[in-house]
Amino acid sequence: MRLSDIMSAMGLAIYPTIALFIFLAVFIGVLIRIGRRGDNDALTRAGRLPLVDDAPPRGVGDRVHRTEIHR
Amino acid sequence: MVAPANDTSIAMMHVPASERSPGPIETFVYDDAIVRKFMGVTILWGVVAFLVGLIVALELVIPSVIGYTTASGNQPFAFLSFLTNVQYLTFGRLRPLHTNAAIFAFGGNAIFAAVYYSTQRLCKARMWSDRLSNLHFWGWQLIIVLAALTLPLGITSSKEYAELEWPIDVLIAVVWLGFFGTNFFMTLKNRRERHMYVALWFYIATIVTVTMLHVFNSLAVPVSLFKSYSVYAGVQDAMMQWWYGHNAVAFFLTTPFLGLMYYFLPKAADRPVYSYRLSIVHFWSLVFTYIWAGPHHLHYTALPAWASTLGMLFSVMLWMPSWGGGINGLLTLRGAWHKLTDDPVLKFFVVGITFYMMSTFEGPMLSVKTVNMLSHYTDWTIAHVHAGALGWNGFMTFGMIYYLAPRLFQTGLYSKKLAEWHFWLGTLGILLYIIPIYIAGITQGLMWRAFDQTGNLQFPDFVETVMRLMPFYWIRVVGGSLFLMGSLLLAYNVIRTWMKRPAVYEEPVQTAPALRPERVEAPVFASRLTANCEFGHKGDVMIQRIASGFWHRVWEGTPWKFTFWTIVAVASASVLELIPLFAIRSNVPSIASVQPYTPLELAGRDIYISEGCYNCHSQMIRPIWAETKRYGEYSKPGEFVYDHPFQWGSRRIGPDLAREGGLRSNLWHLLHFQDPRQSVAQSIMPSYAHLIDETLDYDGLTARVKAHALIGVPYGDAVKPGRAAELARAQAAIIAEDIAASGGPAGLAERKIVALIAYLQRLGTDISRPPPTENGLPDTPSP
Repeated sequence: MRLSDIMSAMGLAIYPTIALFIFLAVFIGVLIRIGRRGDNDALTRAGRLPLVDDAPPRGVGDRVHRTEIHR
Repeated sequence: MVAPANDTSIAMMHVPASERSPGPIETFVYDDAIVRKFMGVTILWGVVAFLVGLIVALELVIPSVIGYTTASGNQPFAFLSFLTNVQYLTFGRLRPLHTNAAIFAFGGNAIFAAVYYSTQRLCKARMWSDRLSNLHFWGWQLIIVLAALTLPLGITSSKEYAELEWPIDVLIAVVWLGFFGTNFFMTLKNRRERHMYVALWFYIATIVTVTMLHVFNSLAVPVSLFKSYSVYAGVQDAMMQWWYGHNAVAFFLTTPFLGLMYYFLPKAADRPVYSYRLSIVHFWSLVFTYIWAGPHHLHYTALPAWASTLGMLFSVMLWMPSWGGGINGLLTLRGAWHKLTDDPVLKFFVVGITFYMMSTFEGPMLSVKTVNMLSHYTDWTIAHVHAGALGWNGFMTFGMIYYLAPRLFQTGLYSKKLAEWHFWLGTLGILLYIIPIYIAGITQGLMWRAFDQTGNLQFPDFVETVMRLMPFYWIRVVGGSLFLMGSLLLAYNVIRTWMKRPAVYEEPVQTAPALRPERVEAPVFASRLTANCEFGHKGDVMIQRIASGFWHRVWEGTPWKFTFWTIVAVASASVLELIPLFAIRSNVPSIASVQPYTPLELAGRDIYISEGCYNCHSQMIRPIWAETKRYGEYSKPGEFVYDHPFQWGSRRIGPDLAREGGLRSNLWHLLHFQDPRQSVAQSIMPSYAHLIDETLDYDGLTARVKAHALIGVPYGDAVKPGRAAELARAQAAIIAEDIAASGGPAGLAERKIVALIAYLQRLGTDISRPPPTENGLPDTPSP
């Protein structure tokens, strides 16, 4: 008996269909994660990272924006 | 842009106590020298890729004008005939060079320039190892040079966008993961900014997924340094190839360029990305969905229908994240649209993202089976990929280069006006490329399926459908030339900018506090239930933890967890899709009369692969009336079980060859290879006269047969020393005698052409043969 005989008898054909639903569920999970309001500030700060990287803050902690240093 | 006055305090409120006190201040310098190198070669290889593209575009129109004679008897285009008869320059050999140069040399180096520039800044850290950065740079250039040498020599695996032979494949794996991947992940590990910005997520997905795709698609049994056979055959090889091929688009031409967009567009616009939330959805839905879409390249082929439908569904779903991302990019310019009028960087980015949205609308549309029935094998696909490659990848790269050049060379850009010219030449070039090629694709697709009132094909002569495309192909040459001219302006502009550089580059010393080793602390949740059931309380706490999104915050700050879940996403999708196809026998029903190729046919098949015939000829008749009418019985999965690798092709510039066997005489094939226009006056096929002069290596056949036997092809006693050559010589003698007897040249038995003819005469004939009485190699040579 070959491996493919065993695999053929395992009823794997339903796998892709199950996977389709798993993946839809993950998508909905991500939507739930981003739909939460509590993370507003953290996400706003994260979104600004490219704008603060060229002249990093001078020794006042890694969570301060460049724009604030120059304000 | 000035942040709100209380921005810091608001942000700090949500930072756990463990993070509020920064680590010791550290100083460091970014490595911009490596970015300068990658940017330079991006331009160089871009020009090469576009030039080779222009040459292959010319090769499709030149044959139709070479014979043109003026009233005074001159042939003004005759000097171009070398493009159709020099073996190293034929379309079949140069087209892979063009695609590889555009994707991996131009696109690849552009990605590396973007990654090396942005990763250092987003991580507030120099690249982990300068040595690895340089090994990566020189290793990748070596791969490109090797590709440029081997592909025109006909050294190819014939798997589209993965044509390079196994030693180069090994080198790619080492350079990509060993040098690039290690350097990138170690830089992430040593970063000084806790949060990994979304661009870095896209880079992570790129590195791990491309590694996986490359390794599994390239698995092959080597015969020699320059030749190997794919371990997969037929349907499974096709599935593997397009799992790779489509995800090369996804994870080489999309995710890293999205990382580029999320980093460089906010910088150029001086605005944060429109919605960081949207970028999170964009990332995960893209990574989860893209990996499934490959089978849409194989609609109506011998691939099982469930796989093809699955690929279609996921492709249609892809429309959502793709447009979400595109809109996120465009809306980043909110309040800054006025900058567009005088900033070429933003112009390139906006048009680039617009092409991204057009392509990602068109892609799902083309993946719908009924649309695909018309578009598949036509130029529609070619137009689609060029809208994406020139518009999205090209323009995003150009925008990035115009942004980087003044910063990297620490001087002003030489000429903004030239950059504007580049933008308009490029835009016009793309439009002049894609519009006529869309028309060409739809025209040819409709002509293939047109029936007249008697129920016969309206255009039974294939070449008639090719001739109709010539005017459009000429416009494409003009469009491609404009795009190339634009890139030459870029090269000139960057060289002049470089010439203005300071004698010594300034290397500003950066400072940032080290990341403290503490992790973010998990919020503590209490059960909200009153029921006296421990399981219920635990469940409620768990639900609150999941819904809090805390887990994703942790991933965003922990590279290895993030990488792990990205690998889980792409690998599980691949496994769930591929394993049923590989493991369940009913997916590829066997056909008793299908037997392995004879050693001579195998040698012919290797010539077919080496010449890149699959670039113009498919070997897959779809179960569509217009196709079975034109080519014969539709192709069955069981017909390809000995095809290592498969040769289904993706474009019909010439007719399908799946049932070519026995249709024409041996002499016809000989004359047709010698000069295709002798047999078909309007043919645009190159001449393969060199195959008539070159001798076949009969002694090398045993190794080839043995390699096939190793991967399960039942070759019986043909693997014994000398037996393969003996069988091949016997079959070659019959074909050579037949050619001589039909009035052709004598003494061809030792020439390569005979092997190729033997292979063509075998194609598609097995299903009409009686099954062999005993298992093993049929001793009777094919006609």
